[in-house]
Amino acid sequence: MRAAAAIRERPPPVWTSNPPWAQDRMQFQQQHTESFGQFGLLSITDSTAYTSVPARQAFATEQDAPVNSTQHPHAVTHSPSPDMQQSPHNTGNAESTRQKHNFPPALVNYVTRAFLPENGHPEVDSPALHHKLKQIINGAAEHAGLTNVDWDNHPLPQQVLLREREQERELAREEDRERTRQREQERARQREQDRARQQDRDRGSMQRKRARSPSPVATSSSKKRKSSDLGPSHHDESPHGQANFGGNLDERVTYPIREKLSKKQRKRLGAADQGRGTYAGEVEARRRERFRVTTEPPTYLVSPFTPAPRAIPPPTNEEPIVGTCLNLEKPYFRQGDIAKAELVRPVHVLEKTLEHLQRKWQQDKDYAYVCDQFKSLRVDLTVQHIKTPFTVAVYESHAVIAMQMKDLGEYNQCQTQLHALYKQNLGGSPQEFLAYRIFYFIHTCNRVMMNSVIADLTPEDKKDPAVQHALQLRSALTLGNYRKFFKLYLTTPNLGGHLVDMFLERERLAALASLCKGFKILKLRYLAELLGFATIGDCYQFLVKFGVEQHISKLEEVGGQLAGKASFPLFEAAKKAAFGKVDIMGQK
Amino acid sequence: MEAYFAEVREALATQDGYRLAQTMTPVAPSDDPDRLHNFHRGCTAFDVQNTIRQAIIYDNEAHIPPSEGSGFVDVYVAYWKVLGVILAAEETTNGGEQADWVNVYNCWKELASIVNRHFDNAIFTAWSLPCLYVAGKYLRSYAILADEVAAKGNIKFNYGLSDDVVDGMAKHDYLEDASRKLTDFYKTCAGDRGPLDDESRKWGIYYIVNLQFKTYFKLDSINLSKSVLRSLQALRQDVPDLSLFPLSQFVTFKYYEGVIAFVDEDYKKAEECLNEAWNYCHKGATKNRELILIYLIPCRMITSNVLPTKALLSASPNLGSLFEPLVTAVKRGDLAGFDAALEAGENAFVKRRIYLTLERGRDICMRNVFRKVYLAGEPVPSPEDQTVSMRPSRIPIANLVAALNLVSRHNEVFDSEDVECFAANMIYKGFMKGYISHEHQIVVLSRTEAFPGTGI
Repeated sequence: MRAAAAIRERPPPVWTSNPPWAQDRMQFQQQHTESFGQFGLLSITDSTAYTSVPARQAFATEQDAPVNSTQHPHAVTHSPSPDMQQSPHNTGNAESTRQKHNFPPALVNYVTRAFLPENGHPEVDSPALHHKLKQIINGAAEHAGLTNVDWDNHPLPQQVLLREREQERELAREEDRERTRQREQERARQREQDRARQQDRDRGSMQRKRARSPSPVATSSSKKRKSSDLGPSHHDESPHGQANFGGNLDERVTYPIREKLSKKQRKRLGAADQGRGTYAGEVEARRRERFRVTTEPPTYLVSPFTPAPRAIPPPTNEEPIVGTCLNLEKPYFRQGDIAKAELVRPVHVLEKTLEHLQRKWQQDKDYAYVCDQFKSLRVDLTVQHIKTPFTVAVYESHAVIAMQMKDLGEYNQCQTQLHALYKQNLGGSPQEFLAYRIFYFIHTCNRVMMNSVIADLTPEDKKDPAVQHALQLRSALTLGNYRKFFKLYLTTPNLGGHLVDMFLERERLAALASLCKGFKILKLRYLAELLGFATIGDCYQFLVKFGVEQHISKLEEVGGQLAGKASFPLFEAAKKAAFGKVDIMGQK
Repeated sequence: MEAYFAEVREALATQDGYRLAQTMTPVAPSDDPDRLHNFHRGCTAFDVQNTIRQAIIYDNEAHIPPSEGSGFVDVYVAYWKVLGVILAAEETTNGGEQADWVNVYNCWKELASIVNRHFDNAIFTAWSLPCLYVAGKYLRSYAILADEVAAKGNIKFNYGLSDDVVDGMAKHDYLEDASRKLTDFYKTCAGDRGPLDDESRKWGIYYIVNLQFKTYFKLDSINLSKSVLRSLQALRQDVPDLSLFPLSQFVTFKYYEGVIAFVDEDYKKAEECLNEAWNYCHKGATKNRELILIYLIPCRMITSNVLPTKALLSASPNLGSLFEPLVTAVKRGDLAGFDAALEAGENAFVKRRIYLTLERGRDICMRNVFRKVYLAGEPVPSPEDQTVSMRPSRIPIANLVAALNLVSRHNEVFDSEDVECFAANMIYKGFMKGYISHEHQIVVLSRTEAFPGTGI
């Protein structure tokens, strides 16, 4: 026992310089700290799914110096000058330039106020402010008329911006959740548990420290702690970890070394320790030691699905609110936790809005605007807990428009919602959209989801021509029956063609790779018909895109023929590339 | 009662984790079927704390350290409490009524939390890890039962204001809750940063990971399983090698790793893992062997175009009914039979996520048709050596069309262009060697190994 104590008191020689194995271990940990840092970044980009506005400072300071440097917290320090009032319009669109002379004085006043330094906000820089101001004024000019707006009480652009960002931040999380709902729930709860447990542990470790200090064992362990405080040098080597863990990192880096040492000591103590209970105090101390190390989960344990700080919605709106806003159009912004009735439109207005939007889409085809309006419409439905056939109609309309514009991110959100809505038997066209859903999963090569689509098929679904068509198309692709696939493509019902178009080129390449391998000579006429091109010319245009021009011969005599063997590697590479870049989430 | 405590003390004294764990299962041992009842009746809520404290700490011939001792007192008190609820629930169920498994789940969760906490605080050490296993195992089982109760509508859930129009129609609230608890277990095990000696909690990691897999599969969220795998991958250097763990844990882990790779279409890795699982799986574990084969068979079919033998399939009636028709059709080159078998088994296949993989067996089926056409060719003298006769290597596409239409379903009629497509695919995928001449409407096969791997 005395010998053991002597060993314990002797300062361990390796603590000052790290032995090679410790270095390895540290490197390993740092690597993982870094990879965690990347995850951290990811989660940040998740929550800022918008790119149009500058990065928030809160994150920028932590993560990204360049972004920070482009920000001018006090950029809005210009004194109001006369030409400043018109500055938004100098770059504005032609329409607003034409109307230059008709600015009501209230508007001029409003613009002036917007640029007053005392109204500036550190988070809103000048370009963003200009942009927003332009948006507000153009929006007003287009929809309400400049004279009809109460400019004196209209929120300033920076206020609008800040609110939007706040909402978008909220929304980004919400949207994320829509897609990966299950995973996200998991994250949030885990996060909460982690926090709770962390608090528990903090509390616990404090108590333990206090409890331990009078005991003789504590002196040695406190000595250890002191030595480990040499640690902070590692701290600087891991910039990513810092943001996430702050001062805790050094502790984690050095702990294992220390732990190993203490274990070594323990080994030496081993013999004296055999009789259980005799040295119960020491056994306990060892275990405490073991525990102390784990107060913080090591870097690689922090779950790879980095929890985004999403609060589970507080039960503030127990009763769904009923909106009182009567505007037909409303720009999209996320309602906060507590929706304000005066900013929400009631159903009877929303119904008109839908008609209006559909008309507007037919007329102008201004997708950015219509999409924004639809999102705002969806939010209004959500905050009022409206789950009716009308809700289905809104999502169907938006899905169709998004699909036509190849905005797969938005389409996928609508589709996910529709899938859940159809289960509640609210009408709509479940089969039509089921067919789209199949196309979507073909496009994203999502076999897991495709499996569940097939699993969920009802006999009724299987009888529907659109669904049958989609299933046949899928099966033709899987079985490599290209001819059937392109034939089916030409007869795609409803609007499914828009989705099939997304993977048409990819499948053409797959077909070409296969055909070039099998055929020595491929006539362009044959190819054009087989691959569903309208004309031989189209087919030719498509082929030369992939650099096979020199392998096409006899253009005059037989309308062109492609040398299979020579072209094969080109198409094979193009096919691989095309399949490789499919974004699984369908995001732009 | 006294015998029970003697057993507990004995297990504690000998540090026999598995024996100790047996004293805290909700299932009575076969040689003492009344043990649970006896233990539960032996104490009252009022004196349970003292009784157990007396039994474990004061009668301490085992010289258990005080902290560990009181840790186990906590555990056994919680165990006593949950036993009451479990026995009542079982009685209700035996009476043919709906028992309150939700309550059972919540009580068991309490027990599980205590066990986990004591491990996390290093009050319990590696030898008693089996207690953590038992806690996790039954946590999962009771969560499933609780979900069944909840699904019957006895308990309503309301998450308040939900994210979008449709709120989560979660059917597995309790199992999801259990999965989070298991994540804590995982962290407890993986979080031991001591050296990898016998005392490390890391020895518990694979059992817990396997439980997590099991739970996530039930929850149908393969992605979460994948993130567990990734996390484990990151830990690899700090965890004892998998081969040092008990075989049961090894086999289970390899099975899940294989299935995850299978779902990801990484058939090569899937085959590797499943093969290992298959090789080490206990001969008597028929159910497990069957489970492994369900994925290994389609896997082998894709990677090396190999079909299971009749003997293998007949070893298990389930496997036989699942694969037999399909396999027979492929072997015979019976396209119609293949389609029918796939359709008939669709639900079973989809449920096991093998439908989309098996579907690709159609290629092999078609290859066999083409091969038969080739074999049916009248031998002709070889161009080099007139004395040797050989099968003609040029096959008219019309022959292939006729053959395919013979074996396919009546409502599916192929023409020469379809067949050209198929032939090109066969060549591309390496089922067949040769080329197609569209002009002459023939397929010219390689004179050697026209159908690689089939002996021709």
